[in-house]
Amino acid sequence: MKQAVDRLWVVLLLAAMLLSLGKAIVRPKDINYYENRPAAALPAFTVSGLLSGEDQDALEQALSDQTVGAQGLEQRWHRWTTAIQKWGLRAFMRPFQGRYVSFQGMEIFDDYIVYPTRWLETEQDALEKKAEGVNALIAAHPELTFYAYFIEKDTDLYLETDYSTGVSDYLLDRLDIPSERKAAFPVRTAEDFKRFFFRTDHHWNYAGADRAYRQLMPLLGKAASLQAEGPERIAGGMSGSKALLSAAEGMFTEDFYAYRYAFPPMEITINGKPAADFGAQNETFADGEVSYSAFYGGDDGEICFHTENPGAGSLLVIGESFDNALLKLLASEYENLYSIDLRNYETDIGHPFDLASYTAEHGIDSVLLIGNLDYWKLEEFLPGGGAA
Amino acid sequence: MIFSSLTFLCAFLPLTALLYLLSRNRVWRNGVLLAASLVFYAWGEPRFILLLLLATLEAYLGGLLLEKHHSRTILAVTVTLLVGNLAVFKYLGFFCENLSPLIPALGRVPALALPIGISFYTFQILSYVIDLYRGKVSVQRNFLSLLLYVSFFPQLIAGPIVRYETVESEIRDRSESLADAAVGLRRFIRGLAKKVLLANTVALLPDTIYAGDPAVFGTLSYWLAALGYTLQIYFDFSGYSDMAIGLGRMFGFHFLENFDYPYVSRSITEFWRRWHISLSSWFRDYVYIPLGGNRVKKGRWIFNLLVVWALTGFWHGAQWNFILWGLYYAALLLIEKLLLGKWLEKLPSVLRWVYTFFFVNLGWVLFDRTDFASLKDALHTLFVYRPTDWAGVFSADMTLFVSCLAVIPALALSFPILRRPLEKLPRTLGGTIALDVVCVLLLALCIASLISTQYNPFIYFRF
Repeated sequence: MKQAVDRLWVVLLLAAMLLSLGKAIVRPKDINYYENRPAAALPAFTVSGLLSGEDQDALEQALSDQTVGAQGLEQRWHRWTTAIQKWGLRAFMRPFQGRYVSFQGMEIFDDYIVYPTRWLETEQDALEKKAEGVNALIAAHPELTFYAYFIEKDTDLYLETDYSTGVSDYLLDRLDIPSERKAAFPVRTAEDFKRFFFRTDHHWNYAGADRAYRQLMPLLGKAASLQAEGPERIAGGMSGSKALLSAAEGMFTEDFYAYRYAFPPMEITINGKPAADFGAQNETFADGEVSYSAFYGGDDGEICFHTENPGAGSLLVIGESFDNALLKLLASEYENLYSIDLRNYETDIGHPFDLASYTAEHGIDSVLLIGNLDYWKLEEFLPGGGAA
Repeated sequence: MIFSSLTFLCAFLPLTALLYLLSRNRVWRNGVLLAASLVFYAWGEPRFILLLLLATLEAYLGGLLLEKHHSRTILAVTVTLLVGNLAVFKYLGFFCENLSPLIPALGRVPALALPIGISFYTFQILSYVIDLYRGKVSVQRNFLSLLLYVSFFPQLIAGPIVRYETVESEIRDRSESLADAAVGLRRFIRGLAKKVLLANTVALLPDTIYAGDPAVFGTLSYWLAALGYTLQIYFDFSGYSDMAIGLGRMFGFHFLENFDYPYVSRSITEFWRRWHISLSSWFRDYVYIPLGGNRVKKGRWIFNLLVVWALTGFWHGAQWNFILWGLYYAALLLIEKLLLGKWLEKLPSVLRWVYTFFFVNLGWVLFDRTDFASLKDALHTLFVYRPTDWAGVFSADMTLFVSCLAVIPALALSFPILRRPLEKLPRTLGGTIALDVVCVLLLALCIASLISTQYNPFIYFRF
């Protein structure tokens, strides 16, 4: 009996080991869903490839992707190693207070997942170029009043020493917009960051969005009329964008809190279609189901808000996901508010965005450019400064 | 190719085993093993397979001539040719680099890449030729059989150094069974787990700490790094030996043990009876004893010891630190034998263990730090206290925390705490099944680790 077990075990185990090779040959996977990339396939072996070792490396990579249960094993391995490290971090937290800790490829600061600081020296060329583009846009549209709002976050601050990189000042100084119409959402201390941002998500939280609303309204020449109630715990178990992007998926979670506001009735269209609401600020969520975009709304190419607020004017917001939490607050103060996310506009609407025709068509005279460092730096958020 | 790779685990091993099982007779089975071994070697170093074939041919022809003439000259020529291969590919660069200040032309000699496993297979071939001369083994008239002995993939690139006399009869005739294969496969998985789960995990300690910011990493962290390396090299190398012995067993070969829990040793002498047994016994039988061993005058004996240990160090690598490491052990052994021997025996076991473990740890620092600046810095930090910023240590990389935790089971498993259960379990059906389940889980963990991390260093691969 024992010998039979031995025989069976050897045969089954060797067969299982060979199964991965067979699967890689006969039915290879196309996508590595865990790492969200195309799965490596077996190389077409060549003499030169074998002599250089490239084919050997390619086979190893292919087996890494094609091994039976590979992605499940990888996910579990990361969860276990992360769990051990997280336990260590929590158990011995005191010495790590106020320090960046490198953790599974991400940075942790006082139980917040944070992005590394991005210093002015490395960003200024891109900022300079973007400022030139925005200034060209402003010069080309004298009929419009432009506002600029730079959202500082963890990347704009060295959290251990509260040293501000000065990136926002550098950018805002270079924009041809009067100083009373431009400002930064200031994050100048680690305490600021922890108060106004999620632990696991890159966006600001309820407090950050509310603070931005109250800072922006005077900038836009209006008063903030809505009162915040709460905060109220909406649901637990949120694993924000930073946690989802890391190997520690699901390991870092937090409760999602939000302020309640008495928004006025609004007519909303999203990408040209009428919508009952933008986001789901009046809905209830089960634990683990809530997220920033689920609650406040997603990155749609075009969102239009109309309120029974005659004479309150129209505002065009060209921004990114940070403003999703702000749009209904801002819309409450205008008769018409239009939100454009240039990353998605052409895909969602079907043609490229043209500022002149869009503002003329909708009778818009004010434009708010709002976003974080990436928005003020990268081409995809505001191509050529939005001149397109 | 290394054993701890998916290519080996998911393709090479099961395919070789399948072809082996499908082969009808000994000739075909040996043919399968030889072909597999050549593919195994060529997979990592296609061009150096010619050198392997050349070295085997030298031994083959030398063997045939030795059988016919039994001449010391033939032996000397064959040994010189074989050692010459090793000298050119492994040591030429070292000598040129060190002699170039005296002879500038040597500075222009190009550096040669080191063929994988050359130190191991050269010593195996030497054992065949020398044992043949001594009449301990018969000549191998079949070149392919000799090539199988030299190139047999389980022991080809990282030992153990299998002597021809150990496998002489098994190449011709051996019995293999699936029950034997089960024993071998379990041993292989045990070795794989030692290598992948323990050695790779603790390896981060020396790699990170020695390379880290001196303001953060102080004396205690350096001792942790030294301990990490001590455990890494043991689980790395003994794990590889387990895999080799297990694979040999799967195909009906019985290799001798290469490690016997060396970190339980209570003297340096005992340590070297338990560590890399195949190498230390090789030097004993083929260098130390021919030099006269200890049956000579004290001065000559000390000389013999110094030569053997300098060569042992030099065998590990063409760098001064390895020679220093060898001489370090020569000095320790001399001190033990001449001065401390009887005094040590009177000490409590724990103190003797502490003494041995301390000096072995320190020895691995000499071994690990291949450049003298780094070695000097490491020794200075180890012995001149500098505080450690522990928060900074883990801030730099929290993965290090897992490595620190792994030190505990690694240290425990370097003692024979599982020896008895591992011997007893396979005797019953229930125990066998339990052991098989554990092996499957360990294999799955190893594969998960190999898929998830690119970090798979292997210390003895470079020798």
